[in-house]
Amino acid sequence: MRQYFYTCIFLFGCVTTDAQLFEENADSLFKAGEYELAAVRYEMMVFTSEEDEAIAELLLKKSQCYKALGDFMESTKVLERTSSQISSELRLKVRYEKALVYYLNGQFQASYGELLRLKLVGQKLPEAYTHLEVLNLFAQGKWEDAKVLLGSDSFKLNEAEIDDIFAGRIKYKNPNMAYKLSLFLPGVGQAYSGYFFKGIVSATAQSALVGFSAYSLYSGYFWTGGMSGVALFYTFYLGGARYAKSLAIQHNDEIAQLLSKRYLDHIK
Amino acid sequence: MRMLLAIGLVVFVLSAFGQTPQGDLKLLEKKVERKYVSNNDADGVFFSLYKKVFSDQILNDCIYDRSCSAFSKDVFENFGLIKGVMLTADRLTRCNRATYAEISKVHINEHGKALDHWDYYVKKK
Amino acid sequence: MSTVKLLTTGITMSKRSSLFAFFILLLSVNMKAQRFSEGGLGFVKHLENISAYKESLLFLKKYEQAYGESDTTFLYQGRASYFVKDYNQSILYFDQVSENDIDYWNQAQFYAGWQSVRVGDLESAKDYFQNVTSEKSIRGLKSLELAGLCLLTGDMPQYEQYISNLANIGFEYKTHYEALEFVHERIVNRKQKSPLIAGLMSAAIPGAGKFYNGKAGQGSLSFITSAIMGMQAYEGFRKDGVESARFIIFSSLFSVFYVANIWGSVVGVRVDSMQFNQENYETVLLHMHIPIRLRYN
Repeated sequence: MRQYFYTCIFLFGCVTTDAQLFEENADSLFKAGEYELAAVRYEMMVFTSEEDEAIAELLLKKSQCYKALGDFMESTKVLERTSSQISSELRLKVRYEKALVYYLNGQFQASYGELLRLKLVGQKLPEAYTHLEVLNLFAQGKWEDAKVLLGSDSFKLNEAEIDDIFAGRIKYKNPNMAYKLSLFLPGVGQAYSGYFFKGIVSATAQSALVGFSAYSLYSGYFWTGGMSGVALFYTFYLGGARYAKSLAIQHNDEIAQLLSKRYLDHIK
Repeated sequence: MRMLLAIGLVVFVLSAFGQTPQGDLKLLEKKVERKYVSNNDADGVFFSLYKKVFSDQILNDCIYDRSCSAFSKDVFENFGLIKGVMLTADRLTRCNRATYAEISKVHINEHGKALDHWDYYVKKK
Repeated sequence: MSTVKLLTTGITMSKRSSLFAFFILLLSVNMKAQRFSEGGLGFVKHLENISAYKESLLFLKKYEQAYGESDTTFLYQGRASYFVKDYNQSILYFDQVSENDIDYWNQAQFYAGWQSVRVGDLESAKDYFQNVTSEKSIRGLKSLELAGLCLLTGDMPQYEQYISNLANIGFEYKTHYEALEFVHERIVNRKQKSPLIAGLMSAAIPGAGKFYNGKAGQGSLSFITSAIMGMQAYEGFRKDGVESARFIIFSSLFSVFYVANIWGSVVGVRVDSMQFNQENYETVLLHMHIPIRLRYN
């Protein structure tokens, strides 16, 4: 008798809910590493939920599925769907998660924006938030600010440890400055960006071309001097300035990466 | 029964809010440790010299998605010396804003670069 | 509500009547296998709204495993594949939609047809568009698609027939069939350029062949390049004579650019007509696409 009832109940369950599609629930799917299925499962729950709070929680978990899959772009998209009408505790979590995936996705400005909004709330932030803030400052080239932040109370680092992280020549190179320097005097911008040899190559090539043009014009080869010489000089001149700018950006990236690496090694 | 419910609740809360800063740190480390991949495909002496020394130094605002040097490499590989030289010289005279203005929207990709590949120049029946 | 009722009455039910209930429920499960549940369809539409097409595909796969395949699952898998631009896969899904539901059938035919054109299979595209039923509401769309297809295959008499049809039955597609008419006129009025003439003109005056081919900017820059090279070679010749290194270098550079300019003008004619065709293809494809998307969104 009883078994019939159980069968009936089971079958009725099949009929009423499509959720029966998935034997496991979303959290166990997530734990088992089935992140794609877990994401769908969470979305099904989002679809049937009506409260912003519950939806935000589910979206947070869904975003973690994509984070685990390494698809940070999708993760940010999911988090952007959360409502702002949620409890402050949950909002804190959402903001942190947003900051994290923005950083991982390479959107440092957006990531830092989220962190600043977190700070505005005025609560004392846990450790993980501050790590992210330091890394963001590194990535944006604000190394002095990072140094000041590391010296503050929330970090238990002493002077020597900070100096350890900032050891060597750590100097921010302004890309626009490099560009202008190279326009002013060819090769100087590259040298300013920390690539002395490349600066010399550029300067030599350009002075050779100037010499060639001047010599040609002086000896009466107007077409050769005016066209080949000056045109080639022009490409090298503007190209060199642009190269100096990209070298400065490259230099900053490398330093930012180095600092981040040292910092992460340190807190391990 | 009540005990079971309580345990269930704890497990649920843990799974929901079990944010793992350790896992996040691992991700951050991975992000920081990424390497820039440089494409060192086997070029000839001429092309590798150009790429190493000149490519960055000159104002090479190529209007095409496949840059002039890469296009040149393609045509030399596929058509041999004479046609290679001709198509490269023709391409160099075409690599300018005046030509770009005459290219229809269909042949400009999403990055604003014009499409021009070596296989356009294969003679078809 | 009904669950509670069933359970409460079930307790007092005899064995036979509970067996009866069991079979009714079993039956309803079977019915379910053929029809897509309202909740499931709503969820799939929700996934489309948030552009989660991969999730949609995954969900529908799961759904098929649990309740079997149906027209709805095929249609929506086809749609999801179409949205992620997996055209060939999408066509395979749409192929499996049956004629039971006319609206689903027509939608599948339109999408499969358009995607066949997209991947260059014009033969099957024609079959798909002709499979569409001749209901009043979609008669215009069908004619428009077939007109576009005829324009692409070059079947002009048939094309004109469809277009004259459209003026009566597809007035809402006015912008689209006017665009097709525009392309049609372009094709008809196109004068085929001769590579030989282009080459000869470029040999006489560098860049003239490109002017002839309708590329004035490209032509003038060809002329300027050749002229600069030529002047430099001439300068070397005038000042240092024929055997000087300067003359040899610049004259060979000039020759390369001069011959390349002729070569470029000759192949340019062919490349240009290829690009002309591509451009028309894309325009026609666009105006075949928009109405389908607007009709079945």
